[in-house]
Amino acid sequence: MAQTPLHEQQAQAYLRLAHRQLAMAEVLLDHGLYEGTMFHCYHAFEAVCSAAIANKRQRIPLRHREKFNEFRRLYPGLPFAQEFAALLAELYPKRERSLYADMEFGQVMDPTLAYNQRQDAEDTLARTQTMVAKIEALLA
Amino acid sequence: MGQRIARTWERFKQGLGDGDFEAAIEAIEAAVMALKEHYGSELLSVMLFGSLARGNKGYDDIDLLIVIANERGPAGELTRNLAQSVFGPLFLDTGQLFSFLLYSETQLKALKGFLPLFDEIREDRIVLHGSDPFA
Repeated sequence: MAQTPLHEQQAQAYLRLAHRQLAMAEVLLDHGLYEGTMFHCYHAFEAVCSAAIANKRQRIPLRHREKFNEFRRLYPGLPFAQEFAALLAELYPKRERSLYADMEFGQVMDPTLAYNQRQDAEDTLARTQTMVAKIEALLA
Repeated sequence: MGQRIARTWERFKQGLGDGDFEAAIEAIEAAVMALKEHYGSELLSVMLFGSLARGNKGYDDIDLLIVIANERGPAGELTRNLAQSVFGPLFLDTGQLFSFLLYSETQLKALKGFLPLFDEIREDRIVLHGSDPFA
C-alpha cells in the first residue's frame, strides 16, 4: 500500500490540531473561560496556516512572522486577504495577553477579567471558525 | 532607578547602520502615519519598545505603545478596530507583525509604577510620535 507523502500527513495533522484548538475554544467558552477561548482561537488560526503551508509541500517556518508571510506567499490573491490580516492583527496580541496578568486599558489585565465578555469571545470564535473553514477549503 | 532619556527615532535609525531593518523601518513609519490618520489630534504618543528597539535582528514582531487623549470604548472593540483599520492592512502591505498596547493618557498615568512591562518600555523606548509619557 502506498504511503501518504510526509507533507500531506503533516498538513492533515495540523488541520486536526486546528480543529482541536477550535473545540477547546468552544468548550472554554461554554464554561465562561473567555481568555482561554482567545488563546485557542489564535492557535487554531496558526495551525490552519501551518496546514496550508505543508499542503504546498513547503517547510513550515518556526517564527510567527515568517510563517504568516510564507502562507501569504504560497496563496497569493486570496479573496479574503483583508479579513485574514485583520484577524491575525487582532489575535496575535491577544495570544500573549491571555496568559499574563499585565496592566492595560486602565486595569489589571488579569486575563480572567480582561476577556470577561461572552459576546466578545463568541464573536472572536465565530470569526476564527469562519477563517479556519476558508483556509481549509484551500487544501481541497 | 535612574530615568533613561528616550531615544529619538531618527537617531535610532542612524544607529542601525545596515539593511537588515529596512522592512521594519518602513512598516513602523507607515504605522505612525496610519495611526495619525486613524486618531487625528487624539493621538498623543507612539513609542517603539521590545526586541526591535534593542536592535535585535531576530525580532519576530514590532511592539508599539500607543497613547490617546480619551478612552474610546471597551478594550476588545478598540483592539478589533485597530486591527481592522491599521495593523491588518499594514501586515498585507509590509509583512510585519505588530503587537500593540493602547492606553488613554489618564490610564497611562494611573498605571505608571505598577506594570512590570513599563520598566522594559522605560528602558528601551523610542519616541516615534508626540510626547514622551515617561519623561
